[in-house]
Amino acid sequence: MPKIDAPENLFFELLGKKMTDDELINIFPVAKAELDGHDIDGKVLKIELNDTNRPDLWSPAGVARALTTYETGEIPYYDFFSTEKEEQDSEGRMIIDDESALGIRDYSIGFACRGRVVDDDLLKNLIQSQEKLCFNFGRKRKTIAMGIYRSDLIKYPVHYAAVDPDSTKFVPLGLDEELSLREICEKHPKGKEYGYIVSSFPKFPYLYDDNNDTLSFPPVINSARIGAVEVGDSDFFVEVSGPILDDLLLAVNILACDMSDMGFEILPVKVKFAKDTPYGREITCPYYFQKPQKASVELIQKKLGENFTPDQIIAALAKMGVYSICDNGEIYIQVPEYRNDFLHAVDIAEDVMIGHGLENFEPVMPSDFTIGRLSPAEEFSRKVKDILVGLGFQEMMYNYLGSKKEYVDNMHVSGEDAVFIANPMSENYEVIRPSILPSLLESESVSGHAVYPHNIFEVGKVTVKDSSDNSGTKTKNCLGFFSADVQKTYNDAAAYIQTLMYFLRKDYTLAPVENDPRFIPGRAAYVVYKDKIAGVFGETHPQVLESWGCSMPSIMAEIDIDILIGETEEKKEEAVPEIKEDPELLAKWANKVILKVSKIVECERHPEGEKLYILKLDCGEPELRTIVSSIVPYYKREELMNRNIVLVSNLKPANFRGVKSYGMLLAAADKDDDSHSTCEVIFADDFAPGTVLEYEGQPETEKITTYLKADHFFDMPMETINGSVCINGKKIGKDGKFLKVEKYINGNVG
Amino acid sequence: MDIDVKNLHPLEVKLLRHVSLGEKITAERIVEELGYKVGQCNQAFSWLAAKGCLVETGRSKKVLYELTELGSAQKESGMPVERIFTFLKENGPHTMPEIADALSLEKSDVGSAFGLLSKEGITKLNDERKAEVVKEELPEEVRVQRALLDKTVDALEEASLSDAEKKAIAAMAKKRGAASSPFKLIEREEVVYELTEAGSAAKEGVIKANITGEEFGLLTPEMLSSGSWKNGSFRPFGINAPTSRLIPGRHNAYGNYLQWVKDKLTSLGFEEFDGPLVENEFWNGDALFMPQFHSARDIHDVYYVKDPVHCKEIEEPWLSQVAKTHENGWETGSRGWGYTFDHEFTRRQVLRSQGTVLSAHQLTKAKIPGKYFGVARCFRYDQVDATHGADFYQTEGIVLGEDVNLKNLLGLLKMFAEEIAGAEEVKYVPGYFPFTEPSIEVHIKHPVLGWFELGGSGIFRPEVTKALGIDVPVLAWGLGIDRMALMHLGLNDLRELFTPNIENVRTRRGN
Repeated sequence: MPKIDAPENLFFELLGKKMTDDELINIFPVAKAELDGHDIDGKVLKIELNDTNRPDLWSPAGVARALTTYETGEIPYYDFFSTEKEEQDSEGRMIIDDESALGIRDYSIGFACRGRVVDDDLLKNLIQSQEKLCFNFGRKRKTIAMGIYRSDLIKYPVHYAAVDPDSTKFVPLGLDEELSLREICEKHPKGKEYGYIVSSFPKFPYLYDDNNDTLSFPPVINSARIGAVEVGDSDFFVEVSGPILDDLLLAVNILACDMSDMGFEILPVKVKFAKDTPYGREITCPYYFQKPQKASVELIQKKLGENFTPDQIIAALAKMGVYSICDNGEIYIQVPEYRNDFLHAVDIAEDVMIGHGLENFEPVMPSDFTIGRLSPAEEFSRKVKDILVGLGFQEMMYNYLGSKKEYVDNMHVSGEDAVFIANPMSENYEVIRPSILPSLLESESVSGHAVYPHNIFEVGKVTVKDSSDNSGTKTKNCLGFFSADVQKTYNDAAAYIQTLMYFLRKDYTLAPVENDPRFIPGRAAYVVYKDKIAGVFGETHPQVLESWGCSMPSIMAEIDIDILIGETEEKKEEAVPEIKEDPELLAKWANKVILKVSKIVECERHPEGEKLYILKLDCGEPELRTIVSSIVPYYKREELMNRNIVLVSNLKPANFRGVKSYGMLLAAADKDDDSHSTCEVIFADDFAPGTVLEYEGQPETEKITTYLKADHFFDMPMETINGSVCINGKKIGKDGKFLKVEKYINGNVG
Repeated sequence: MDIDVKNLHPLEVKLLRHVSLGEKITAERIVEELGYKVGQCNQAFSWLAAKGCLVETGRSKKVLYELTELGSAQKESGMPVERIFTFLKENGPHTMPEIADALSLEKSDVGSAFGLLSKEGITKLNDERKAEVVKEELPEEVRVQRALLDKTVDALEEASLSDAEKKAIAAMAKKRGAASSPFKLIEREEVVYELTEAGSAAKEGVIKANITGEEFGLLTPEMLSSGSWKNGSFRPFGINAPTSRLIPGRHNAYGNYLQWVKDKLTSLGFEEFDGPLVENEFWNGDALFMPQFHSARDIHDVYYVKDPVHCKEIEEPWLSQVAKTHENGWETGSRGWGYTFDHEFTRRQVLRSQGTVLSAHQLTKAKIPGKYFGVARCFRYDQVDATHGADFYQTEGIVLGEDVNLKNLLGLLKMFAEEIAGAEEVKYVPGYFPFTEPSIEVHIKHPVLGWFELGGSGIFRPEVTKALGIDVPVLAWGLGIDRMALMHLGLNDLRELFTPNIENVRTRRGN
């Protein structure tokens, strides 16, 4: 967040009045500003600006402009802007961009100004604007570099070109010897800081006037003569350069408006580009480049939950400095010259919100009913924690970042499964913990004074490498517990594990631990749950205790509780069971069943059946078909309308509470669902209505002309296998495309 | 000093009841009159003196001969001289080694005892060099020693002994050659106490309360089975007596607070989400419509994973949709950021830096209407100090609904402020987050903490929601509950929330 200094004298001059701190605190939010305080002698306001998309606010002039506009509702007017249609007189001032700079930093543009003698405050303020714009908005000068020069020393036109870095020399600001551009990168403090932006190019950007006098080496440093602005100067040339033209135009516009607000006369400068731009080969700066934006009255009303009239919207926008009109339900805005933050209609809605005053909106609770639920891991963790607490353990909570020494070296493990940070701030925080055990041992190492026994545990996350995951890592929910006292042995640990697993209802077996340097050999075991190693426990190896500086024997255990939760893990693809091909079944299918893709064009509730929809389908046939389907509990009308479904189209027509149904749509359900409480309609939006689907490799058969009885259809059970809809293990589709389901990927179809 | 007579030990009670103002109270007297052991006496004296019931009025030195372990054994089974005399009388003449063997005595003890007996002419060596008894009576000195042993309970006071006894005892203590002696000379100070006024009052109290000192202490299973408890009363316990320290199994106080917050949110209809600690730039920033050049995505703001540097892939269609949204707005109605999306950068892996990442993930699988929340561990590139942790919890969530709007967002924030933070007043101000528009900060006036920022919120930008397949408005919110957690736990340093110090955690209490 940018923070700026605003000298009180200058700021109140710009505001046109004095304001107390309380008044400022009250009104600052309209500019998303906060009063951070005063400097030591109280003459400078410290202001923090929260909106990183509003560089126009990062100066005292910008903040003052926003506040004044908000209070008066009067949109500021600046007369020095050129537009596509109207060009201001540049009186011979010109910048010529040479094509040699293309691909390095394409553009340099600028303007001149005069009329106010710069004092100390104002000079500092100009430097601050330069910094904020170039550092925060201009990505540390990568996209915007800015120079302010003594206009009276310049012979126009100014030339912008890329030049040989070794033969081009000048005296940079801050030094008194002549250096080449390359030497500046190597020796000058600014060169060391910003030289890298251009130093990989064969030529460096260079700005000079028609007398070949140096202005600057953008984006690095000004010259010591034309580029040395001092207190007492009053004529300036302001130039910005960079690769993104809109950003440069905005920066120029912001600076011009700021300087105009501070009493300068803005003098336009013509820019000749080296290539075509959306605004032509030649423009005059400051240049109004913004396009009008629009938002519908309805969108603003819906976003803000208030039935604003167009006039209310226009008035609110005016307080934000935005001129707007309403035409046919659309609000069209003219973006202020110094702003370019309207990306979407919602950005207009926000300005309406601020302009209307947030305090004028009444809080209303959302009315939708939703069911609250803890995550399965949280629910299970709570059970685990309760058991451990019952066993006399103290729950701990630890940081997840630590040092290699703690997580690897002290544990005497290889650390090959640990996830390290590439850019650690310090070696104390260089790796995510791969295990809870080192955290527990750290506790022990700093708690020698605490009364024994030490029984502690944590349920928390660890992260290890896992090449099977997309990220190459895996975050796991784990339980770790630790108990230190005289005469703590393997048997105690085994008893804790036994008790824990008994109450969690998890049957487990133990397997010997062969080589784990963290435990005493022969005194540790793996906890095996459903053929997976879910944890390890045993007596802490003395070498580990020694590394941690612990003097009490201890036992410790770590259990992966995600493995214990198991069944609630995300549905993973199951190994496809070998399905024996049944030629008789497939032949029967091919000769009896017609699956036709059909589009739902009408959908209404059955007047007699609570769960029934009456659907009208476009099956690619001359007439629409009617079917009745009992999917009201699962789908809203709008979720079905205009969707393609799969119709069993030769099913014998049947009556459903007085409405005849000519077919049945296919849906998938959970495999273990016996109560018809799960349902996923099989959508076929990838297929055109009328497409007849078949199983993969289905042979040509005679055209089916007979009705299919429902019970015959259900004698040929379809199912979903890893997301595909299948009969006898064969995927159903057409022309290499196959039906897919998302939810019940291994379920039944009916 | 007021004395709760119920707190008095039976030894104190009995002593108080026994003595009166003006009497001299000494250990000797109490041992004799109340049958106390000397140790019990001293306990009772020191307890009562500490309570101000007794006062020391003088003390005198006494010399005592205390029975040693050897002395006790000799008192029971005889001195060597007695045993040899009896042995020879009963078994006839034997050689010295035979005697030593038979009586399990040291040869030197046998030698010196025989020497004494022979000197008095009671025994002599016969021609076979065997010892035999020639006189039927033990010497006077031995008889005095036997009498001394017999009358000693714990110790004998020197002053109470006759000259003969003194001589005899000195002889017993003088046996240099012997391993040890039956008596030990000790000096003991005897203190003389008197009852004080307070003691007298306590005595009155004891009598009034009908406490005899004979009350039952522990109720034993035997008392229950025999019914003997019916024959007396129980010694009352002082209800304010200091208690011993227990170390219970306990939940972590900060964890309890987070659980409470989770329970609150579920009770308000929110479903919990969670996710991995390692994320990629796509979900950590791109999916949230933060441009890839955004300053918060700098190397100095996010922790990069060293290996693997990149994830394998970003899920489609989200990758394409988000990339196009950044570049030109795609179908979201936005003009986008207007730069070329970097498909390699987006796969770069980072440690999750904001909880909103989980909200973005949830959008791809959310129900409509739906309310979700998560308490997510996040990592920030900050210097660790009292107000910044290397990793910390953020509480975040979303609300999806066909018609949710700004006023609902304000309603939601008000509910959080009142239900979770116990706010007295709520104030909303415009805020800025790259992924919401409009954006709101909520400030609350807390009864203890005063005004502070409770959290940030907004309506997700269509660039976020549409690109992730959601066509309805989504309210997004985050609560800074760390400050409230610290207050709740009486702490002022964030680092304390995750302290490894067992004692600190054991004794920490919530509010």
